[in-house]
Amino acid sequence: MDSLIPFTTSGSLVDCVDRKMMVVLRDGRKLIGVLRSYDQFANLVLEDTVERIYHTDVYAERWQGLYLIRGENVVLLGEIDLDQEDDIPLRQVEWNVLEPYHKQDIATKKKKDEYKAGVLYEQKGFCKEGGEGDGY
Amino acid sequence: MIELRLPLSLLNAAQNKPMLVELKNGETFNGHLVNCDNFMNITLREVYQTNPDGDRFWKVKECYIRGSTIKYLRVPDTLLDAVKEEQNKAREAGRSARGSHVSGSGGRGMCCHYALPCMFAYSDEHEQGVLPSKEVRSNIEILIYF
Repeated sequence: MDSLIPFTTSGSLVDCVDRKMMVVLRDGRKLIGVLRSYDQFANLVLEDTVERIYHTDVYAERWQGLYLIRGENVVLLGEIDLDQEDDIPLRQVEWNVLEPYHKQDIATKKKKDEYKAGVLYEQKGFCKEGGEGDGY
Repeated sequence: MIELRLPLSLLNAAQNKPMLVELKNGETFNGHLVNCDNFMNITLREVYQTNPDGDRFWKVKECYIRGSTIKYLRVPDTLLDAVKEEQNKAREAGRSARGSHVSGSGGRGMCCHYALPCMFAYSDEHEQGVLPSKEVRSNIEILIYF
């Protein structure tokens, strides 16, 4: 079977099914859950999902349950190595403690990106974003 | 066990169940699913709509949401187990009705025609560029359910 690897479907997610995955959405959200199924649009079913937020050296998690994610909103999927999963050099805290900091981070980032886009438009002739509102 | 259930079949199985739908603009809709289609267009009833900032609410008896505007849907966790049960029951009923006769992919549910190309790629017959022999095919079909 190893010799067939170059010929197998390159865009297949079949090797990711039933594995713990981190999904990053276009709005910047990071969801961690077990990938249960997918289709040709990369719509995903994620089971036992937690949403995780980060700030400097601290993170927080919130349990969300079963997700059906529309494929076009996904930026990337990454497999979580269960052996290394607990070696995170970060401290875990309560969600409601970290949330205001996280919201602040998002607001700062948004302002920075808008300013950058403005400069690129004015000075370098780049197009302004079409309002897709990508937050990642 | 190779799970080949499609995300949209999970959605179809969620009819009459409560769910949360978040749109691309951040609005959320909490309601019971009435119907859905292959484009992920859905109709909900008894809906509580919230704006992106979470500070305004509306109660709406029925609403239609175009699939292309959806970011994601959150469904009850018990739904996955319920759907697995249903699929197992359907499979058992189908198999006992047909006995040992190996039929085409049509009778096996909607997932098969996506599955077979993947299975085809992994079979030993691939190097010839032909469809696997009947034996291999029936073994593959067994693989799909076990």
